[in-house]
Amino acid sequence: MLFNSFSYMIFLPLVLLIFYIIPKKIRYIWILVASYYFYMSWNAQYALLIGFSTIITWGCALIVSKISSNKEKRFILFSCLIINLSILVIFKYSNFLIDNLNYLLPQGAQIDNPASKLILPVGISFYTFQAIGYLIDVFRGDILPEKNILKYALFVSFFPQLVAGPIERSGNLLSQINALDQVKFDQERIRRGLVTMLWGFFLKIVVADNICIIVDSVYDDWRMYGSIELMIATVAFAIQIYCDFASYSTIAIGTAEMMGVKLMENFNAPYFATSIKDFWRRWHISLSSWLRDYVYIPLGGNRKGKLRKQINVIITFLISGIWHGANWTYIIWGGLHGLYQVIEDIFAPINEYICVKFKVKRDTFSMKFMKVLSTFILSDFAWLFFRATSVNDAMGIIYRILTKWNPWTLFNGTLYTLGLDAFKCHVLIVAIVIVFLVDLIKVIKNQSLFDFLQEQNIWFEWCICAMLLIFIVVYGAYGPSYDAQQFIYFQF
Amino acid sequence: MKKYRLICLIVFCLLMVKIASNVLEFKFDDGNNSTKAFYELDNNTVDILALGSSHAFANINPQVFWDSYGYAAYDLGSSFQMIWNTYYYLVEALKTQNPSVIILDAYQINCPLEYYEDSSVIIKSTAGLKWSKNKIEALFSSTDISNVPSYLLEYSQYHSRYEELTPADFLKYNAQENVYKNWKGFRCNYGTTPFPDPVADVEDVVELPQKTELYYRKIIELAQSKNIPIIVVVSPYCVSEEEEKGFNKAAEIAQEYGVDFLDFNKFYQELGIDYSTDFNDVGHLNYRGTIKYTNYLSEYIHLHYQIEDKRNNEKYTSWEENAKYLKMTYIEQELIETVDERSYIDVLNKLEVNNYTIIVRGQMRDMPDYMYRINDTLFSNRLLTVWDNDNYYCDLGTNTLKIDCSDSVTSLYYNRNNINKAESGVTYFVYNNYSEKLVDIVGFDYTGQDVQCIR
Repeated sequence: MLFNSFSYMIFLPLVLLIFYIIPKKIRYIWILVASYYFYMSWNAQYALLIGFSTIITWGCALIVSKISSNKEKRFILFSCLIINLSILVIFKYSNFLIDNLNYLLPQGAQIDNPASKLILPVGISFYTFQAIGYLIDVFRGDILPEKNILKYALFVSFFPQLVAGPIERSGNLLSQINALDQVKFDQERIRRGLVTMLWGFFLKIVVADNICIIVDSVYDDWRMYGSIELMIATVAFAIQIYCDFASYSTIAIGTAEMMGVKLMENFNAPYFATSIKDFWRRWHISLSSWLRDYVYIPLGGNRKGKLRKQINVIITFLISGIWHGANWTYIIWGGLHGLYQVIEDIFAPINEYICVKFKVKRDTFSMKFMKVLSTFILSDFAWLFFRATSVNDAMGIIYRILTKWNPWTLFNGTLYTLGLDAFKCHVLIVAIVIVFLVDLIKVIKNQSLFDFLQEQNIWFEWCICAMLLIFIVVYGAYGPSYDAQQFIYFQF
Repeated sequence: MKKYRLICLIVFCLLMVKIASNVLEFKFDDGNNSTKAFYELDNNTVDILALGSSHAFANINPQVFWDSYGYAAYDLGSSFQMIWNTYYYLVEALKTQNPSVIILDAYQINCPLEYYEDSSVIIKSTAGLKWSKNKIEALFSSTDISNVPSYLLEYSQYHSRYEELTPADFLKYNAQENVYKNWKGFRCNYGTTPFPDPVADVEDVVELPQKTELYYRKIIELAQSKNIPIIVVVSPYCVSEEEEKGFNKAAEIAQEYGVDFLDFNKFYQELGIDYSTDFNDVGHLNYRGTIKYTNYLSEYIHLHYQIEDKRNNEKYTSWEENAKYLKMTYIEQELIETVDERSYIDVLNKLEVNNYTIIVRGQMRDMPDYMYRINDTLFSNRLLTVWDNDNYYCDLGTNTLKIDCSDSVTSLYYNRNNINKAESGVTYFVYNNYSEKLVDIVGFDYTGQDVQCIR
């Protein structure tokens, strides 16, 4: 079930109610049951798949921790990795791989994909990585394996973050699962969870789902649009994907909070980043830190010389790209981000030289603004590839942006014909400003919305919450005239 | 560096303002743009210079001058132009051109006003001129001295146009490069309104207003001082008796200087002009009328003056292009006025299809042989075109075209608007690639007994 659905509105209170009523020792079992129910509401059969992954990784972790011989340890580890990743590849990448193979082969030798009819199981990229992370942690000796299979199964399938993250680490989530029996009912905690969820729904239903309309109108028929509309749609997509993805993480964090579980922060005002390197410390933090710990560092990180470091960065980000989807556009998106960071690194001393030579004042608003703006432009250019349905389309869009210059559309009302009329556009702009301000508070005071509101007087907290709720209820994109926009990251 | 900082700042700010003003400034065809195009001509290329109000630039047709005897004619006028503004235009024109003949249309000679009240007319008559002593004199003569500052600072007139900006404001040559690059100041009207014949056989004279007479004389004297023959004309229109008396007086003044005066209201029949078919509105001929009118002028000039035929001269290709464009528009007008499907196909066959994008959507009832010729050229002479899935995309100038074949009914989208005219029948889409202008979208619907024409 989607977070933004009536079923979830019934499911969640019920789960929480029972959570606090039943004996504390069996809380984790209840949540496990609820999680599997949540997952099976998408597709019952694929619960078998996640169950299979769970059992394999649990078993291998136990074995690995018992064996002393390094060689055998590695063998078990790699076998388990291969099994899990193969499942992921078959379900997610087989079509892509076969299509590319067929492209290279002559006409007569084309291959059919026996697995082409398989539907992508929801959340497979997330829980697979989460399980692999646990296994590697045990292998490295960072944690002891979890003996209780039910508790481990809950770690893999914990419903708030199951379908679209944050990708949790065993150190964080597993220990909290073990401490579920110590969670006391706390009114403030429930409030924190609710306000956090409220903010998440605002991001999704008011901003992401409405701005989606503009992005889709333009990107789905991009040959009919000129430079200005395409650029605006690309910026709109940057906002859409942020609000959509962050909303899921926010609602997940809020839901978990109410059960006394603190999930890791997944987004930290990413568009305020001052460099691409900084961007990845703020965007999809759980994935980028996972890749750092389980891909970049095993590859050697920056400990094998400068050239090797750049190569490692590029490889890591290509993997990030392909993780997002089975299409060359995602690979290019990932590759671009890798390239950006390599270039940032190489040019760092040159930048230093220029700043000193031209006496550029670096500790100023203007410098920071420049950095934030250029980082946004770079990441938005990469988003163009992320959103385009094929590399051809992406190149076509870039070509049109560069050649079909049409500034008069800024003045003749064309911008109100992209799917949202004038009034809706204005409301959307107000909503985006609110998101900007909340992120600004995060950057300046390092406070979440809830913490910030706690500092203020009660009337302010109530007004803001009421305002957000009204926005959601009145201007939200739900109801018969919209169709519930899937969270973008569900296809991963 | 520090001492230039202030100057750099000022220059940068002014540059930004200049860019904004380039976008916002008035782009009136009848005045600003025609003057601008005039400045772009090579020096001393104009043979015939036509001056005056819209009676000059909407009636005197350079295509006819060109195709009859290879004369290079230019219409330098603006709407409602007062005689004094015409004088200043002549002064300006003579700075860069040395025409063989000047034609002055004297329509505004009867205007009794000291200054024209409508500011847009004053702008059309002055803003196109380059800044010079001449322009300043023109301004002082066009309006009361208290208003002059608001015309000197042109920005105050047009800064609020930001709500009405169009592609023409941003693109060179008003987004129609081939048309404006070769434009000779002529604004053709294509409509038809029938009018009764004028009553112009009036012999009386009436004194002219002081200011118009003063400048009328100045124009003639200026032309004669440069030894340029000048012909004063009154182009045919729905003239009143009072106005005719004024023109009679003007004829007398012309005679004083030995200058020819042709009042066409008195002998339009000789030209074959028919008031029921050749007029667009009370003041202006339509394209048919201008051809007849300008033919006469062309013969007249050919009879009285020796002007070299420029048709094989490489410097004059823009006049050839201009003539070619105007002839296209005559056929296009015929097309737009056609309501019968068979005739429509006949007229389509007259077009030079290489210059056009023609889409025919739908099922024609029968396919005459000559339709196949047009079918061959469909999709063959486009600009950037693409087939994508079931859709066909094309960029036409700044416009976009999409043919959506994904449903059972093919749909045409022009600039994202569905332009299917006939559900069960045929829709014709005709676009001129040369002038980057949509010519016609028409549907012939077969649902009823008869074929219905839908525009």
